[in-house]
Amino acid sequence: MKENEIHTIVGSNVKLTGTLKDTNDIVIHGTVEGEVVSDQNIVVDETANIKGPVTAQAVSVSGVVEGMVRALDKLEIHPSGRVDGNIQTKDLIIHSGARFIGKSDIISDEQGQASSDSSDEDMPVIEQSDETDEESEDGDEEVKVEVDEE
Amino acid sequence: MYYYVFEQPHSSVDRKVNDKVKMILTDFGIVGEFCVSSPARSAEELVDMGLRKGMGTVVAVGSEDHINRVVNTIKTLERGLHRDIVFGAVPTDKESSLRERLRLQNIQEACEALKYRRFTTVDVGYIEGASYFLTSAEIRVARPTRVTIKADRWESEAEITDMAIYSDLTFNFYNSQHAKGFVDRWVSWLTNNRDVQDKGISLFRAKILRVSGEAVLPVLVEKTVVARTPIVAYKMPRALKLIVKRDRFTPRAEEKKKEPE
Repeated sequence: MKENEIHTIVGSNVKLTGTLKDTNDIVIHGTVEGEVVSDQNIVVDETANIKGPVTAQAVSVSGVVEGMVRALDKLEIHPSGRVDGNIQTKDLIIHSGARFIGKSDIISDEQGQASSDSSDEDMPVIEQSDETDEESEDGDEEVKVEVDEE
Repeated sequence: MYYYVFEQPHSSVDRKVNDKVKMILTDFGIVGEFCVSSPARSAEELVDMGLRKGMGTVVAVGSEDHINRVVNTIKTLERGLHRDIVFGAVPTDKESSLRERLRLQNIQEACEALKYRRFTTVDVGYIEGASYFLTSAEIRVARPTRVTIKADRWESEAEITDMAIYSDLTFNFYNSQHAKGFVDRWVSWLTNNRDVQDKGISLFRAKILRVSGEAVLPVLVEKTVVARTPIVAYKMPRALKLIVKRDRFTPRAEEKKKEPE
């Protein structure tokens, strides 16, 4: 991400409540309680803590996200990153040491395109097997993934 | 006709600069009416007098503080006049951010821009009930103070020492006592680590901004206190006709893109 395209930065000593939305990149070092939406990229820094859904083309998580993460192109969870919530993305990278608790859905190219064309539409249909659906009905939908560092 | 409002000179250097500007304007053949602010006639009064005379182009010559005062007066009086005023600026401060924004190397270039009278409409910031500003409004306090910032659809709380609100309602704030120290910056420079960005700095954009604090904080436009918190600030899109160099005006967003990495 080019730094000069950043138009929104939440500083480390800031606690923000509400919906944070920008057409450009968003970088978060502080605490956000609410929705974070960008038409471009979102960077969740090591010191960041987000309680709420995160939506962008690409999301990079080095801090904590408690909520759904929807990255139309790419989601990367770095070793210090933690995601407690479901994720939807086309390209998922979880580094060694990262923590992810939730359900992951892979968006197909067509779905990703449709979503980016119309951001106000409902969530895209997610490819799921019947088994997964049955598990969801049992209330056992969460998958816990913890990758220990070697 | 051009109506020039010069800032009161505070030193012999200022007087020389004013004389030089007058000389260049004479050379370019764009002499109009010259007036100089003083304790007896403030810049605001002079602008008022000029607009009553029917002047269509007002040029402020001086510091950014003076330029903002002239802009504020034009915008305040313009509504009653039912006509748009074209505004020109000759920033005399070498470190002027406006000079950088207008891509003016020196006062010669500023005068040359006036000669061609090419103008563009630019955003102006407005602090409700207080002042318009072309550059920035700032809050600066010695001790970190907790403020509540409401912008568009979000609200935030932070301890700050510095806050700057620009005319396009881009704004930043930070706590200088939490800022990255000299040693950290020096080490970053020494290790060729370009990531010297301070994580304490926040940067946002908004259409409407509300700032309130646990204490009453002064809001300055350059050197002048124009309001005290709580304030409501707005962006007045394309509210001022500003004379610029040919194709050389840099909106603030573009200006940021040009900043070195």
